[in-house]
Amino acid sequence: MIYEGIVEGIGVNLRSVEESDAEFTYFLRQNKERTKYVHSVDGTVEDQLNWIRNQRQREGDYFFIVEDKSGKPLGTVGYYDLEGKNGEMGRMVINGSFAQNCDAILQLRRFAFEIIGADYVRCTAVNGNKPVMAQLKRLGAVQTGSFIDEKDGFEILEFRVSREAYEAKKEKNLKLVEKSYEIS
Amino acid sequence: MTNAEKIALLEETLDLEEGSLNEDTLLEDVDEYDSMAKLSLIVMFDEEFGLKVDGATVKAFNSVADILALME
Repeated sequence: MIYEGIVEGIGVNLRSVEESDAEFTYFLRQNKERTKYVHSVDGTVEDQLNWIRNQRQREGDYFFIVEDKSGKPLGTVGYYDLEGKNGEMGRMVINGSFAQNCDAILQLRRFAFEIIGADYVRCTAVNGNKPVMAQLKRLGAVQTGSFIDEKDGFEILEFRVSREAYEAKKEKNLKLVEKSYEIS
Repeated sequence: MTNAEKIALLEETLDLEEGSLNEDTLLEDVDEYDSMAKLSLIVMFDEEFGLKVDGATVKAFNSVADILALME
């Protein structure tokens, strides 16, 4: 599914993935350190290209390239498996600065809650992925379940973040990101 | 600024309850220590101490003691 607009952050933009991004997204997912808790991408760049072609047609599935303001790609984020307006946030692999990475995640939240109009979003974290668990805790996420991933054998924890929890932290987080750009 | 005052400032910066940190606390044991918390540290060093701390420095922090050492 394609979002035609650009989600404009303070120092990054989110734009829908295009077929020409296949090589970038393929090699991004080959970085073992960055993708320790994300599904690895099997196959080739050609397979990734086909996946992107399918993703662009798939209803309820948004996949974004995170770019800096000069258009340099930094990573990806996604909002997918929508049931109505409520979907899952993930596919977050971003190689920017702290400020850029946080900015991208805040913009994905803004996309889900303010542009799509979600009442809540779902998130998952591999049990033991402390950075993501910390982020979810800070965001006021509530655990709703868990399951074992058949592909990787990880225990996956399921969370839900309400619009109210998002709204409560939004302004503070945005100001923090803005300030960190100023001083970096 | 005493160590107790620095720890209080750190708890406030990281949105933690009073008394939740001490000098020996390892950051990997702080559930709330996420990327936004690291960003908060960068801003705190600039605003409170006039120090430009980069991402690499923050990434290298392992414990509260590491952070306190820079809060001069």
